[in-house]
Amino acid sequence: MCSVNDDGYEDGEQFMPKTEIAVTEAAICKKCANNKGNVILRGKDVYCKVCFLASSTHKFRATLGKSKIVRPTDSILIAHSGKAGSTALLHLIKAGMHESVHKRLIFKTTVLHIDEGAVNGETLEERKSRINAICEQTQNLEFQGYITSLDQSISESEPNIHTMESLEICSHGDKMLTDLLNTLSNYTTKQELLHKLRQRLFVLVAKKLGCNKVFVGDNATDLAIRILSNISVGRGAHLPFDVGFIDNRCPDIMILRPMRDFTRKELVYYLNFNNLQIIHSPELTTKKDQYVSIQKLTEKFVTDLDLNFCGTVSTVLRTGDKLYTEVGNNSDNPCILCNMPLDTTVFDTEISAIQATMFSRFVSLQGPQRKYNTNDVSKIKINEQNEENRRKNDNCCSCNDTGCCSSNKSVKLSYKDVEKYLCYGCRLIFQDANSLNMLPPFMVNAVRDKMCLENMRQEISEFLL
Amino acid sequence: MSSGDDGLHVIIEFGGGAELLFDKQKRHVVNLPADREWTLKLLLFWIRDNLLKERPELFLQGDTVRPGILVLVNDADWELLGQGEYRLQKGDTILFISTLHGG
Ligand SMILES: [Zn+2]
Ligand SMILES: [Zn+2]
Repeated sequence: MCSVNDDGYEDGEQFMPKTEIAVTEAAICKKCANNKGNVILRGKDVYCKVCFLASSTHKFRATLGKSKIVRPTDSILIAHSGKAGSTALLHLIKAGMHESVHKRLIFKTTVLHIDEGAVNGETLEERKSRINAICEQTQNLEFQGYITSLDQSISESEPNIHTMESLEICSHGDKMLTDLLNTLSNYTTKQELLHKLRQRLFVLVAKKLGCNKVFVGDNATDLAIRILSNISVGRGAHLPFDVGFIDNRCPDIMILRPMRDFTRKELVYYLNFNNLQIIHSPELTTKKDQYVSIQKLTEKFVTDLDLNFCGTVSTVLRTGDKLYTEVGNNSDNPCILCNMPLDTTVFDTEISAIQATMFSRFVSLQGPQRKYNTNDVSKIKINEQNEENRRKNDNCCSCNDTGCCSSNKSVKLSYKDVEKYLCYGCRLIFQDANSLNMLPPFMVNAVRDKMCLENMRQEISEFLL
Repeated sequence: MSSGDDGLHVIIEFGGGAELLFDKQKRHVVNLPADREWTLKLLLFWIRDNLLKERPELFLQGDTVRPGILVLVNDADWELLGQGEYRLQKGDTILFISTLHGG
């Protein structure tokens, strides 16, 4: 159990003590016991500017160092959104590279900024000035950088990237991206999709630039919010990968979160004392109602609660760190969108959430008159099975002439086929899209490839028998 | 805004996206009328009535700032200064930063 709240449990009335505002006329730094306090953390710990900055550097180095994951030979892609986490990250790395020899950070770095202006309602002018500001900041911090745009994540080909010197802005993929987003009916799934596309693009660009690791700026507050919202959107099984320090779902490119021990408040202090500006750009739900999406509402819940109970973020985060599921070990068959092992395999004896959802959909479609009993569940299964068999029969590869598999464009696909290769959370994203030509091309192609491979496997196994 | 010499001269700054509510202007040098003793709480209402351009609920909640907005007076967190009760001094720099944007 977390030590912060242990006191609260004893009287059995309070779970988390409400933070009392400490009105301290001249609060003195708790560390050096000399300077006047500038910041207050966890509702009680007062630090001066100097001690706060020193402990921030120390914390960052500890997060990077304790895992022994980052090596001097690494080439690291640093995702820089212009927001607090990644801006502080760049500054901390730069400072680390100028440390004395035995403490110096040694690895190769490349900065990447993903332009998402198309979906966030920025004008071309606003996008230009944001990219300009990002480039200038990156160069001032002495990093090499590249720009790409989020639409590069949905096409099949290698992503287009530009060096920061060129200050180029690509808007020709905008429409494809906004069209894709417009097929989704709500902001919860839109935000989920954007997140998955962003993660995918990190990996694609890292591969293209020969980087073996990616640093992202996710902070403690963000991650506490993601723990709760992930569970709400059916991604509880992905927690260790989506919020942990290490995300190694892709075997050759690891995504790391070195800022995960900093709260938003600490980041804002840090940037302010170092005279660093965040480069603000609107997000999909900026200035929208707090109920617009599960993520936004969760954010409000966590930040409001944290105001009065300042242990909230760390309690959620530490609890989340302990949650772990054995996601099916078929890592050779990952979800085509988010790359997590598929969590949708249902065994005959098991009752699963997916079946429950299927049953509920089945019932809803039957109209109000009918009465149901448990046999109906098996009917759903039988329907599924029939569908499956029917599909196998008119699959082009069963007519094994003219080698139609080699030109895999001719494989007939339906949305059901795509769904088979999506995890539970990703199925929910597209649950009301339901048409093939609305899906990102890379997904459709991935399904084609996989189906061909499966068909080939089946043919071969017939020979082997 | 009165601009007499007898006013209280302070600098108000917005950052972290909070400036979007103020026409994207980050720095405001203002002269508060000398007719009362200014506390941070009074300043919040004054900002709402004189500087805020839209959506007051994104800046204020009740008689304090909305959760997620950090207030620093001369680089010190206002929680250390008694929050709304703090009495403004001539030349103070009051910074409002939104922490609502992460990664
Ligand atoms: Zn100190
Ligand atoms: Zn998935």
